[in-house]
Amino acid sequence: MARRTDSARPKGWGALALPAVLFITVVYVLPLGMLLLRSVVNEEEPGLGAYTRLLADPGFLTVLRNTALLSLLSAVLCVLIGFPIALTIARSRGVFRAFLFICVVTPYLTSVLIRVFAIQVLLGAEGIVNNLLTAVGLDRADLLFNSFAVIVGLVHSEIPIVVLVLVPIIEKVDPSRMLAARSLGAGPAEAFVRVFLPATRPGLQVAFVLALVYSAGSFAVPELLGGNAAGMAGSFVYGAISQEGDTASGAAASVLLSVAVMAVLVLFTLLTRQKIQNVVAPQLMSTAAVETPERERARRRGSRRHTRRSVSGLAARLLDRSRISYLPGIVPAIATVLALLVLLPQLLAIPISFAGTRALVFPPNSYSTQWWANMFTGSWLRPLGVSVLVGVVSSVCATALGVLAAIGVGRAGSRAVRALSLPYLLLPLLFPVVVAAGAFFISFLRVGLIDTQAGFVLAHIAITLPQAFIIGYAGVQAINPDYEHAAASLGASRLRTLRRILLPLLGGQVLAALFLTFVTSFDESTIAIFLSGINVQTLPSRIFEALALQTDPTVGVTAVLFMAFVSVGAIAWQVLKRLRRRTAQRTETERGQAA
Amino acid sequence: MSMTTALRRPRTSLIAAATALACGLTLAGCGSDGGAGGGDTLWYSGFGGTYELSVKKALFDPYAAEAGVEVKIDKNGSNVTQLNEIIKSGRQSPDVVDTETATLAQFMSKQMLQPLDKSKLNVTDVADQSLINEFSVPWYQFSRNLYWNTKSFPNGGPTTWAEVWDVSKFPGKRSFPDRPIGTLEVALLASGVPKDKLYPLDVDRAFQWLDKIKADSIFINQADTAIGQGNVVTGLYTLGRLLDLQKGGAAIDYNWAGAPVSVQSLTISKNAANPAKALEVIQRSLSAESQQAILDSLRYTPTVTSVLDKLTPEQRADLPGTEETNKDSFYVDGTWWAQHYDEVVKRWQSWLNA
Amino acid sequence: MSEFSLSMREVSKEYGGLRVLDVPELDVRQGEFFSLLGPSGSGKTTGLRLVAGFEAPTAGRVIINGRDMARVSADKRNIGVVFQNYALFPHMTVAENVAFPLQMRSLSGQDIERRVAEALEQVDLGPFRDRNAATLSGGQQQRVAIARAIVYEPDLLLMDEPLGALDRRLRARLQGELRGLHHRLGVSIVYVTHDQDEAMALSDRVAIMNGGRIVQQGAPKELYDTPASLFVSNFLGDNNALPAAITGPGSARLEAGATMPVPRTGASAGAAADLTIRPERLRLTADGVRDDGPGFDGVIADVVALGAMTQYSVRIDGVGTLWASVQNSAHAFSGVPGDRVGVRWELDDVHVFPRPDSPSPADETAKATADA
Repeated sequence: MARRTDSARPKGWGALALPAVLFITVVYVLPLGMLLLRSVVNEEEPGLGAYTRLLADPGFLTVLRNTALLSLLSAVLCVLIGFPIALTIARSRGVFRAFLFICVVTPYLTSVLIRVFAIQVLLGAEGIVNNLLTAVGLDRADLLFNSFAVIVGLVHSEIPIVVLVLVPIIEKVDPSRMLAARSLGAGPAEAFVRVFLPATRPGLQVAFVLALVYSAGSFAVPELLGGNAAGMAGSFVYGAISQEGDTASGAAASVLLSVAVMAVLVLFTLLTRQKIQNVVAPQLMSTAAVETPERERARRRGSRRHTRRSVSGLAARLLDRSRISYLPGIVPAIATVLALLVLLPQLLAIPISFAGTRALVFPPNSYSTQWWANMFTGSWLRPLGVSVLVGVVSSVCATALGVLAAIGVGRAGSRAVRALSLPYLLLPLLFPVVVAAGAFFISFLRVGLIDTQAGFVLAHIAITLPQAFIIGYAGVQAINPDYEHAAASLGASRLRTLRRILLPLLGGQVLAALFLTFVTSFDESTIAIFLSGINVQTLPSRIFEALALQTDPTVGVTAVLFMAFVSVGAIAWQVLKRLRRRTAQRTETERGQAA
Repeated sequence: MSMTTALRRPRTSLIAAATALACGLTLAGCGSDGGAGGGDTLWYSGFGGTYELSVKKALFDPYAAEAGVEVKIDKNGSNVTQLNEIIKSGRQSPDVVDTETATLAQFMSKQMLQPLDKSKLNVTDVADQSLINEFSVPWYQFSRNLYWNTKSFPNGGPTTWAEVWDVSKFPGKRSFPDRPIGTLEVALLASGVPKDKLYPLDVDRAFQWLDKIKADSIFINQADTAIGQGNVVTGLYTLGRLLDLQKGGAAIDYNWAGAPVSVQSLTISKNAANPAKALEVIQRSLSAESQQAILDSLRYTPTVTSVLDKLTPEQRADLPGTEETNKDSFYVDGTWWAQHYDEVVKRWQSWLNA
Repeated sequence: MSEFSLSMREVSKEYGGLRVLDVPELDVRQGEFFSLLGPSGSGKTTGLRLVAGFEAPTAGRVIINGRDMARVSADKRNIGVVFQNYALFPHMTVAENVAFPLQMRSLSGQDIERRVAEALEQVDLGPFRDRNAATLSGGQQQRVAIARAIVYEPDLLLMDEPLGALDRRLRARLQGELRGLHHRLGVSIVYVTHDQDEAMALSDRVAIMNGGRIVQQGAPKELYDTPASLFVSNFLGDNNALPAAITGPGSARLEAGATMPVPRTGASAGAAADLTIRPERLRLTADGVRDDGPGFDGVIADVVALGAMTQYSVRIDGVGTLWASVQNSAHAFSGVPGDRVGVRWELDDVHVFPRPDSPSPADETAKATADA
């Protein structure tokens, strides 16, 4: 019989993803393509010339080695430091939890440049660390402008993300697992190592590889903390493209960096059997996704696992013998110290902002409000205004495009559409930002978008769109499709279903996406540094300039303002949440009375 | 297609179109007022920091107020390659570019500058007329100097570059600029080359000597933090910045031994939108009050007799490019650098990263 | 108006080549309460979604009130749907939920106001109109969902396991309400459930589904009394199922060994078959009491008192264990484990279901036709 049903076929919302897909294609993929093109098509070194020269250049090889070693080390440290903090956050409630969260999240929401600034202050020859060393009778140590400083900077940059990835995963682990292990005779440490840790392994893996990949693509940290001694790929790309005008080298280095990052990610997915989405968007990682690799691994390894006694297991047993692990509060204590260490550098900005002189000395030898006054001059207010404007416009656009795309992909009529567009829309999260910045620089130069607000907005939409998309997508996934079916059965057209049902239900996600994309755009430094010029400069680019050209305590002022902004935001959020909870409780009681 | 779908289809695309429109409108609203435009703006390419503040105050602010021109400032004055890219691509380039000896020579050899219209420029006050050429008039002289940390070396720091290279006698990290101009020269001085035999530079020898000290040095553009906090104890740094740091309380001192001296000039780049205004600025930079202001704020040596003649011998003894300091310092040879910069800088970058 | 509220013709649905639904013919009469009953995965919900227009059939026609729905999208079908999880819009109040379909139909504000009030009255939820739907109890939410689905007087009401999420007691009460509602409104209802009691209690007619096909449809009593297959027989009510082989016209030998008379069927001798007898069709007679019906003698193994009735399991040599339910009354049989007892039935109470895999003349013919 003839198939005559096609026109009534309920269409998916796939078309809603189209604007975002188009946008990413034109504004992100195309520039990346141009970057790739520029690495092989250029006047000076056509073909693979730039690559062969770079790979034969001992300088570049050192940069590559630095990149690999420093990011690997930082990733390991990040996980080691982040885990106890995440564990404590996951296990605690109330004020303590909020405190730890604030310690870790405040830096996350403050510009990487401000963190770098804080670390410069912290590690300088006259900085706190060295003053502590001399106070206990040790020699001053050379802590700044070397690999050590870079590692400190990278770890400090990536710890928040590690913690944010780990907390929900640790929270998903059934605590009765530990109790069961204890009841079966394992000490606290042994139970932890043999029962608890394996359950969090997928999260640890994702956190590790995220820290690794982000570190490898880092630009501001090595540029400002490493001196020439610890140059990394990111700073190399910046130097080549933005400073030396050597686009061929910069493009080739970007391609090599991207390939390396991709290789790490592919290797990671092969080794751990986790989806690439989990890495770039841990928010999408469901319990099922977390548990599958664990089960699979158990199946693959089979009985070998049960008979082999791991080194860590033995170590844990020794720890239990020593009874150290029985001490109550040992993990929270460690976590508190570590969390404070993460927060501390930010706080230094407060006295610095009142320094009497320009040179960065801590504690300042005199105090003044000149930098606060300076903050409110055009030189700083103009970039601030640009940042706010660019942030607002790009967050609104990115959220609109991202959330619509989330509905489109989440409710795509065909599976193929979803399978293709989901990773495609996450592309901007896969490539190091410095590579994207180079790509934007090269292609925007051609169309006159450098040094324009439109250029900033386009670039920022491209890199924040995936965030809005992820948040929206998680929201869409959580919405029962029956709501849409119900609306349809009740006579609502697709447009009305979107307006009356889906968008209101995604209200929370829309707000979250607006907030996150705004903060990201407002904080974004790498692209800003590449695209800024005489007409348009964002605040992070202004900060970078202040740090790269000469020290300037006004940076401290911006840091304080940042922190104030974030704190007010966080407190407002908490108050809002509490209010909502109270309303919920009230209705709950009403319901109880009604029943 | 049935009526129902015909009515339904466009709605989805309507949303798409609305989104696109919204984005487009906001972008348009942002305004792409790219370029510094013509008429009422002047684009100056300098170096940022306190230098920028001083130059603004001494020159651009009074000029802007008087001429009713908005001055836009970037920090890429020393970025020859970038400016060259801009000019090659035919895009608008800065009106006024701040150059030192070596960059001026490069700009000239790459034909990135416009000749100055001497008929409209009064240069009679310039002391050393031999420094005037087709593209530039000298503005001031400045130097990079040998500095040391007085806390680290309370009995006196290194007095010569050879001593800077002596790590056992003066332990601690050194700092040098992250570009080769001036740095290769002091390495050669340290190796024993007399200052009048520096050019043509023996590049191999220079790198050989730089190798000796590389492990004990950082090469960094912005050394304020490192010097101010005592992370580095000696090295080569711009005089103006050293003075700034001293003012800020940093325990440092400097001398004139083997200090590379440069002549600074304001020039007009090839694709400048506003060369007439640029010329006005250059004229103004030669005024006595502007030169005096530079001298007061940055302590760089004026080039016009009206200000030079008022200098006391004590003042001259601590200024770059004066008879008194020229005994110890040397002039950077712009012509040599113009010929060799591109090739040296490649080797330099690779050496630096390795 | 067409005789049928809903008709499906040659409707099938495939997912990735896998056929999950195949309905050659199905008709729901105007005003009928029609249930799709089957285990999970039997295709009943898929059927309902095709009718609602949430999914399109791979082939075939869905006709509502005589109108082919092929080109009519879900929002234009004027069907009411009550979802298993109610799908009340959580960001709206009760009244807003109920008003939603009226707003979609662009009714005037006053009309909406009036009809919402009426609909909420119908389900006894008047006082709850301004409450957030999410704060109501399960039963209340259920009634809001119904009010929302009937407020615009749909041509057809689809209900997908609407009582599935409720506890037993509430379910029983709501069944009563649903019946009342159906009588009051006279709307045709297609009701999806996996609960046989619910289907039997509510429906005018029931279609039993299995593996994407309707295996039998008819009035509940008809299905119960004359099931067309072992599956239907097992699915509707309890059964004593005895695997056996047909030994000749009107006789079979049980796998356990005994031989018993069965109604004559088309099954040929030697064919494997399942014999079923409903527990309530078994008569128990105390040892020594004479009963000439077909049956066996055995020993009571277990007694389960269920209040209104008592279930006895009786172990019989050569047969196995049979369950018998006995309505409790003053004169009813009563025994304890260990008692010898006679188990008797009427010949017509035995149903014979030839095994589908065993060769039977009818099957052979069908196959031959198919091959040709």
